[in-house]
Amino acid sequence: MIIAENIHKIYGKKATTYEALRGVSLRIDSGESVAIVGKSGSGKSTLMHLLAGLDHSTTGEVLWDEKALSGLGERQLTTLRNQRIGFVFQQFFLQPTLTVLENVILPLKIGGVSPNERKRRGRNALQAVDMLDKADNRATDLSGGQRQRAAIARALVGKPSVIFADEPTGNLDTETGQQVIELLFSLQKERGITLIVVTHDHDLAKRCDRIIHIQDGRVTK
Amino acid sequence: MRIPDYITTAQTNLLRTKLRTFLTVFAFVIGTFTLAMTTAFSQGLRSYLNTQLGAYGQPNVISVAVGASATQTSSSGVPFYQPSRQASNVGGGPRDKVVYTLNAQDLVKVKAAPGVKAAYPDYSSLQIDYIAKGNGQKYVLQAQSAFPGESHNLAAGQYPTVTQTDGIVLPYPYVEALGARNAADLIGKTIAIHVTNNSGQAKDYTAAITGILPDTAHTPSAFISYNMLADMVQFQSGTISRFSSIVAFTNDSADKTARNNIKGILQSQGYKVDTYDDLLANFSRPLSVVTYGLDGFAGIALLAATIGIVNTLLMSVLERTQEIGLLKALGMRRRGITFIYLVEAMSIGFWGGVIGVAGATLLGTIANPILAKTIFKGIGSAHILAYPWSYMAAIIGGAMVIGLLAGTLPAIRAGRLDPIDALRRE
Repeated sequence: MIIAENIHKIYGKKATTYEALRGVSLRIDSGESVAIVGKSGSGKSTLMHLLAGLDHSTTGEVLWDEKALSGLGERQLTTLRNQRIGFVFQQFFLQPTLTVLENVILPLKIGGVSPNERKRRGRNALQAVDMLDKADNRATDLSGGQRQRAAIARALVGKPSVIFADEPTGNLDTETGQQVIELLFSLQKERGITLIVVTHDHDLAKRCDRIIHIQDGRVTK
Repeated sequence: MRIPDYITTAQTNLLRTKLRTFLTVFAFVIGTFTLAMTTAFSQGLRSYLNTQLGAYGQPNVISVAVGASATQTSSSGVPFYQPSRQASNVGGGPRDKVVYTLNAQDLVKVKAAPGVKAAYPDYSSLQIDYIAKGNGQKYVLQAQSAFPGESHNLAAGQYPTVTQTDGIVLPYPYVEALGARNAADLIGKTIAIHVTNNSGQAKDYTAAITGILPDTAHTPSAFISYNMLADMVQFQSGTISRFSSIVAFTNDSADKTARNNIKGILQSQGYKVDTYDDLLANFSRPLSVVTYGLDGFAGIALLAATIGIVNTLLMSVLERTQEIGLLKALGMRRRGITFIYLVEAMSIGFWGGVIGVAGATLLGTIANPILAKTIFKGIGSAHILAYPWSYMAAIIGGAMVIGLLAGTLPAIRAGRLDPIDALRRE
């Protein structure tokens, strides 16, 4: 369960301050799928970063299972991201010099999992997104859809309880995007993962249990 | 991440920009190569010097002479009168200056010092007119005592045994001078030694050649059996009760502390004491100065290479901003990122060190036989360039430390990158 309590985020200093979030409160239950929808500049990405512990709110609190993220040290925060969160980005962020499998197991490598164990789990994750045959290919050899599926495998490999997806279909054509959406939701249902999607893709948003609209740094409905 | 993961990650990262890594490492190689070469040269010279000095002295020999301390000379520098110590005519040498001598009492004192096995008067003032083999050409010769039990490295033969009273060890050039084909040919042959005394009387002594000294750059004195030399001095100067110095032998030639102890004790009694270490230090001091100078140049080259490492790593932090952001988002700690960069910097130092040292060693392997046949011909050392592994390992280790220091700034910068900013950058 993730709770946001009246969070504000202000960028810059003095004359050039910009308030990206102006008091956002929300609650996301475990196993829920939630879409955060808004125009660009509405503050939806900032909200996602704060919820995922990538950034600190200026005021207000983000709580994970009733624990405030502001009270966690760097070590606990990075462990939280490594063990409990999976990320899917619009730009995929696969490393071109590594193979698909090496990209997928990156969170396990960071977490200090043994080489054999991470290989095994990496192959399982690739199987779940139907990409096992591409395991030893370079990430650069893949099509857009394949890249996003590899990225989903990377998000899944650490067996996270929450997946944050930032415009996961933003760089894909409609048909491929549709396939990625199907995959994401089937895995979410199957594994009971909390899915938080930031998007302005209405097809994607409609698939979620709930939609949170953000406008000018506030939740509108 | 686990330690092996850091190392493999750093190596993969370095291989991503092969040319840039190569150039950075190469700059480092110039420094480490120079350092390895200067080390090889100074180490080689040092061991060469040790061989050369082996013909002059040996570690268990201590030379004791009259000291310049207050017990021997007044503070104004004008010598005191000291019964039986003033001697202007010791050994029949030139009489243009006062020579202070030691006597039997001094010999007793030196023998009594703890750790001294034996001590002998050193009659180095003997003047030999000439030596000749049969009716052959006459040659001049400088000689000193071959003390019982003393031994040096020889080109052929051996030192006179303890009981032999007429042995002589000749310097290497006399092999050719006396018409022998090689050093071994002269062993067992006899020569005549012609000495004249203060009254103008001459006497020929017959000595058997027992050994030939090694071929060194500077020709040392010959060594004559102690008893025969004493006879010659007695004949030449009429006395052997005064002498310019005493040669003492220590129990253990490897024990440097023991001889320094003896030196301290005898010095406190007012003697001037020289050990083998002093002899070595006198020769190696200028060598050390030259070595430090050369090392300084290598150091400047390394400093330039260090700036190269800082530059390369700062550039790669910029290029890999997004990747660093991703690693942080996926749960890598600041210090993890910092550590990757430090390992990369150390790796550059490591490879720079290994390649530089390997290159220098290879060059030495090729150059040593050539040097031995040309510039350093005939001085009996095949390894002008020496590569002690401990020094080479120290160079590689030092290169890694320098790399580590150079990597600190970029590594801290990489660690401080904000993952959000990093991921936003397209």
